[in-house]
Order: sequence, then C-alpha cells, then structure tokens
Amino acid sequence: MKKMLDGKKIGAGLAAATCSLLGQPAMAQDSTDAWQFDSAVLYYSEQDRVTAVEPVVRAKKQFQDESELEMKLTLDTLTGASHNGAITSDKPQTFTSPSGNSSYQVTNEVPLDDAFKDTRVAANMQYTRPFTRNLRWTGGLNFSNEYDFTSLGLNAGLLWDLNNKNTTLTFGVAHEADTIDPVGGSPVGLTFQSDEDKTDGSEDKSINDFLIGMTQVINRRWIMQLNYNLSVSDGYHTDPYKIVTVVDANGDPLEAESFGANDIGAGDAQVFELRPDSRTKNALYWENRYHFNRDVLAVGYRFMSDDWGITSHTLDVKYRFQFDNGWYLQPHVRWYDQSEADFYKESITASELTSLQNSQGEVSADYRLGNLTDTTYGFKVGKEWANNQQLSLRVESFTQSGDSDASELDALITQVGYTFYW
Amino acid sequence: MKSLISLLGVMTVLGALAGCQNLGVQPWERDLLAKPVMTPGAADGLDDALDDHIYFSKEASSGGRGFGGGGCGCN
Amino acid sequence: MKQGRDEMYKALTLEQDGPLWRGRFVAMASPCECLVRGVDESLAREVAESVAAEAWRIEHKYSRYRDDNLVAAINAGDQQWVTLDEETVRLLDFADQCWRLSDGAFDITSGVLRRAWRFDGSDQVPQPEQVHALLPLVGWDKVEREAGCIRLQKGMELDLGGIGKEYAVDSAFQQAGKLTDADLLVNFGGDLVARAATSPWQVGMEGTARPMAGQLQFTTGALATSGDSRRYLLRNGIRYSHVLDPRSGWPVADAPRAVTVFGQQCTQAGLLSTLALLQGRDAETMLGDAGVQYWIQWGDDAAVTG
Repeated sequence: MKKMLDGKKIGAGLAAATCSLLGQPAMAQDSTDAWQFDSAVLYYSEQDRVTAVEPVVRAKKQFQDESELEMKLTLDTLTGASHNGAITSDKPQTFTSPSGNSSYQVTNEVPLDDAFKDTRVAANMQYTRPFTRNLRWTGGLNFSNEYDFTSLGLNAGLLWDLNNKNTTLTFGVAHEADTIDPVGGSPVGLTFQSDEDKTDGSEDKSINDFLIGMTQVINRRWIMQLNYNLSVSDGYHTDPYKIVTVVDANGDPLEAESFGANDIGAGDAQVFELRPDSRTKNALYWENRYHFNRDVLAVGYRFMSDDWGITSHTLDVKYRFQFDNGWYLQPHVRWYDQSEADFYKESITASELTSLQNSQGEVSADYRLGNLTDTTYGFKVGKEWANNQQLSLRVESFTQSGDSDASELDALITQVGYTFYW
Repeated sequence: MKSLISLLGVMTVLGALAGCQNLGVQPWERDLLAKPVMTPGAADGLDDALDDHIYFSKEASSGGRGFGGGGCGCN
Repeated sequence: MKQGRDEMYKALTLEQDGPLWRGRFVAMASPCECLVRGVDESLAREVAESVAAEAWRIEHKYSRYRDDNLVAAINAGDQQWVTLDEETVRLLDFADQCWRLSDGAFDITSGVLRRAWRFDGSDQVPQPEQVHALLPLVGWDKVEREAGCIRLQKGMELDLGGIGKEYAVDSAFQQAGKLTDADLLVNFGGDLVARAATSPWQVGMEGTARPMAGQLQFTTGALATSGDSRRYLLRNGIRYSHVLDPRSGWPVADAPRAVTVFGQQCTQAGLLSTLALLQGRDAETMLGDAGVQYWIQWGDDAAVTG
C-alpha cells in the first residue's frame, strides 16, 4: 500500500507551496530570470611601445534547471611597436619590416618593429549543466581571430561536489587548434632577415590541456583552490617576427654580407629565430580567500615549469577593504619571476650560428623567454548597489625587468568595469 | 614521463585533502562563502581573464587558474 | 473564565541582553520569543508586539479548541457550505498540496482518529473495529471545495494544527521584518525562522530523548521539528508511535521519534519534517533526496544528521 515517495519532488513541491502560501515569489525566480552582464574596457599602455584597448562584454544566465550559459565577446585593438629581438647597440643596425617591403635603422635604442597594428576578436561560450545532485558537466567553445592568427578551441569538464558541497573536484580537457599566417610568409629559421627566405602558406599549432582541480571550504571564512594544469602543444611555436643578432667578440652587430647574405645596410647580420616544435607545460595553482569581518584577503600562487627549461613563480595578493554603502577599495600586488629558456640567447656569435645551423638547433632572443622579474601594483575601487549593479575602476602599474635592455618595460593598466542585470 | 609523475603527485595530494571530512561548513554557514568575492574565478569579474591575457603576451607562463591555451598569436 | 485565560495569555515581556532584545509570550500552548538585535527599546517593543499579535491572531482564528472561530464553523457538522477568507483559502491550498505530495499521508482531516487513539503512555491500544469505524470520516478527497467555500461531511473535522504554528512563525516574521532591517529571530516553541546581516544566530538544539548535537549557527533560514517521544502507547513490548497513517488509521511503522529540518521558511521545514515522520523508516532517504539539512532521532539513539 505504501510506496516510496520522491523526496526531490517533495522538497521542490513544498518550497513552491510555501512560497505561494506566504505570498512570496518563489526564491530562485528573480535571479533566474535576469541575464547578468559584465562589461569592461581595458586600456593598456606601454611606455614607447604597445597600446591596447580591449572592450569585453560577458552575458551569463542561470536557468530553472540550474544549468548556466555564459557568452563572452572580446575586442582587442593593438597599436604601437614591439621589440624585434635584436640587441640594443651603439652601432647602427638595419632591419626589414615583416612584409619585407621596407627597411629601417636603429642606433642606441631598443630595436622596435613599428608596423605593429592588429585587431583581435574573440568569442567564448560555456554551458554547464547538472546531471545528478553532485555532478555537473561543462562544455565550451572558443574562437579567436586576428590578422595573422586564428584559433579554435573546445573544452569539456566534469565538476563533482563532495562532502556537502564543501569539496568540488574539477576535471577538464581542452583542445585548441591555431593557424598562423605570418605577414610576408613564414621565415626559415636561422636564415638572414636580409635574404627574406620565407615560405608561403600557414603554420599550425595544436594544444591539448588537462586540468584537475579541487576547491575546498576550510571553514566559514576560508576557501581554498588547488589546480594542476598540464598543457602539451605541438607545431609552430616560433615568433615569425623575431630575430637574433649575430655579434662579434665585442658584442657589436656583424654584417650579413660577410656570411654571403644580402647587404641591406649596416649591422644587418640578423637571423630569424627558431623555437622547438613542441612544448609541455606543468602549472600548479593555489588560491586562498579569507573573509574577515568585512574585508577579504585573496592570495594566489602559481608554480610553472616546462620542457623549454623555464621555471616561474607568480604571487598575486589582493585585499578588499569593504566600506559602508557598498564601496570597496582593493589594493593589488603581483610578483612574477621566471628563469630563461634553454635556447634563449640575447645574441649569438658567428660560430654559435654555424653550429646552430649545422644542428638545426633552436635559438630565440625574445626577452619574454629570458630571465625576467615583473611587478604589478595598483588598486581597484568599486561600488555595489543593492540591485547588484557594480561599477569599478582599476589602475595598476606594471614593470618588467630582465637581462636585456629590451626587457625593461613600464606599462599602465587602466580598466573600467560595469556589471548589471537585465 | 616527468609530467605523469607530477600528475600522480597532485592526485595524491588531492586525495589526501579530500579525505579531510571535518573541513567545511554546514549549509546555513555559507553566508560569507556565498558572496561572489569568495568565489575563486568570479570574485573580480572580468579582471582575471584580462590579466591572464596581458601576462600571457608578456611572460613565458600561462595556465594554472584555468587552461593554458591563449587563443592569441601574441606569444 | 475564557476571558480571563485570554488576559493571562496576552502577557508580553521584553528584556534586554546587550544589543539583543528578547520579547516573550505564550501562544499555541508554547513558549514563544522574538529576538531583535541592535535597535532601540521602542522599536524592539513594536516588533515584539507585532509578532505576538500575529501569533495570537492565528491561534484565535484556527484553534480547534474554540467554538467561536472559522474552524468551529467548518467543523460544525451541519453539512453547510462555509465561506472562506483569502488567507484560509491559501492555507487549505497548501494543505491540499501536502496531501498530494505525500500520496495522502498528510491529511488535515485525520484528527478524528484521536477519538480512538489516546497517546498517554498507557497500553490502551484501540480495537481494530474502533479504528475501522472512524476511517469513513477521514480523507481530504471527501471534502468538497468550491471557489472560496468548503463543505465537510457529517462527523468529519478539519485540524490545521499540523500547519498552523509553522505558518504563524513565517507570517509573524514577515510582518515584523517590515518594521525594521535589524537582525530578527522568531521562535514559537522550537519552530523558528531568523535572518541576520552579518553575525550569525546561535541556536541550541534540544533533543527529544536526549540532547542533540549542540549548537547551530546560521544567518538566514528556518528550523522546525516534528515528533514527540512522550506521546506513545506501549503494549506487549510493542511501541505504538503517535504518528498515525490516515489511510489505515494505525501508527506508521518504524517512525522516527523526531525529525528536525533546516529550510528557508518555517512552514517548508515543518512540513518536510512531518512528511518524513510519515515515511517511517524511509524518512532519511526522503530527506536526503529533498536536499535539506536534517536531524533524525531514532529510538533512544543519538540523532542521525545529514
């Protein structure tokens, strides 16, 4: 006579019945009906080099079945100049532009490639849906396109709630397929820039990512996240616009013609860089958030190492001072330190070039692969209204410093953010 | 092989931590944890994604917080 | 005499304990309290008075021990249509939902079974014929309802006791909550609902047979308990719980002594705990599936929580 009742149905049914008894809208209603919009404009400006303006808008919605859809659109406009890889010298050096149509000469300054101008469009979509009480799956698509680069990615993951939802385990995989179509063609590594030895057609790179993570509630004030990320990429990793200067015993640039290459001017012994065709990265990330009576401290640490010989440490600390009426002030400090890649050389000698050419060895003078210490500090100020609208302003100063002159860089990060429901 | 070993290492750490049943709170103690500012990845809206993009293009590291791919030709 | 009892009831005391104001009164045969934090005395009194007034109003309106209220009119046994106000329609709709969700295990017409069952700790288990004779008078599906009206068959009775107190807690909390933004807790005999902006409420949990797991801390939510270990019959070593299944007229087999549920509203928590009791040994499975925090007292053992 008596059969087992469906507890899930009873729980939901009673919640709804109680709400209509008490004349209240059902609890979840107001948050499920609205889309949450996060928007921001980032203004990133390096002294004498790159300036980027990056507007982003993200729309998020939670549905009745507890699934969640997120869509994001990013526009990224870059103007300015970036380091071409060559040394800074008091002797003149001559370079060609990426298209090969013109040349330029630099003395006593960090050699920059002026023709740097690009617009990137990126779109992301992520959908997450519960399929049991404790399991959710998630799937996403990413697309990004710029003048010489296209990227397509997809990801899938599983989120597993344990211990009364105090522990959440995350398992994720992602695949990304990149197509690089360099302006003027892909240069042949270790050949002289003055020779314009380039191949037509595009280059490819594919990245496979694995992520396992755990979010753990420690107590009412403290939550912790620990992630491990393995990233394996195969294909074209070389930066087609970066070169390496061939120098003499005094460290002065040599001439291309002395190697039998075309002469386009003084100090033109510049060879195209060449990087390995695969890279495996391991990253460990640990984040802690602690809620004081009103304020919140967030500390993140990342350790990364890869098979290029790079090891890095990142420490990120934010402290939110919460004030009355929804105002907050959040100072932010970030510190980053990396060791150089095995094949990083600020410049190479003629004999090093010969042995590299003989062994098809890799070399890059990209300062981003050298020893590097970065610091960022700044603050964010924001206000939250009762209807969850939020407005914020972020101002930060970013400084890079490493072995070469090219690595000395100062930038200003400014960002305005606005969140609203509609 | 090196990466496989570290993977196993992390799995062991995760397993050990997941065994700590006495960590955590009851559902009615989630008043503070329920705030966005206490949610890793959601605390500062779009800041994390924008930061990841900036530093991806200026440094040799990426990933950790999420997947390491950049979807960007800047590095 | 009745007048005198009402006067005694309507005693509200207010005392201060640091930033906390505690108003006490008696309603529905239970000690009741209203806690409000960080307000001045006049506002604290206004809040406590509004809570007490709402408790007394609901008690007066729905008590089955009075002969001058709506329930008395419905139960008069004259088979007349009785016109209902909007609040009662909502309560009966809610009772109807509970009856459907529980496949008839929760039934506000089951009170007549008390004519056969008296849970006084004795061994007076009724004869099967006695119980059987009452079954035609039990069954929500036998109650006729039309828009805003109700009619009971002769001999049937409505008893809103299984909903009334929890509803009163929620309703009083809602009304008082409009008077102030301050932290507030309303507690009618252990069924309670509370809200707090930052520092959580500490609620002591009292076991029915023995103390339950200590203290609860929460900022917002409700707690309700169903069951009473003092009400039972014992015959030939068999313990008959006071939880009656209205479909058979006999006690639910293996019913827990008490079930406490934490929910969003007191009414929701209270009915979940009641429906769980009616599930007997499946109580725990049901509450687990319902996805709420609960404490079950089985026998004299320590409470099972989940």
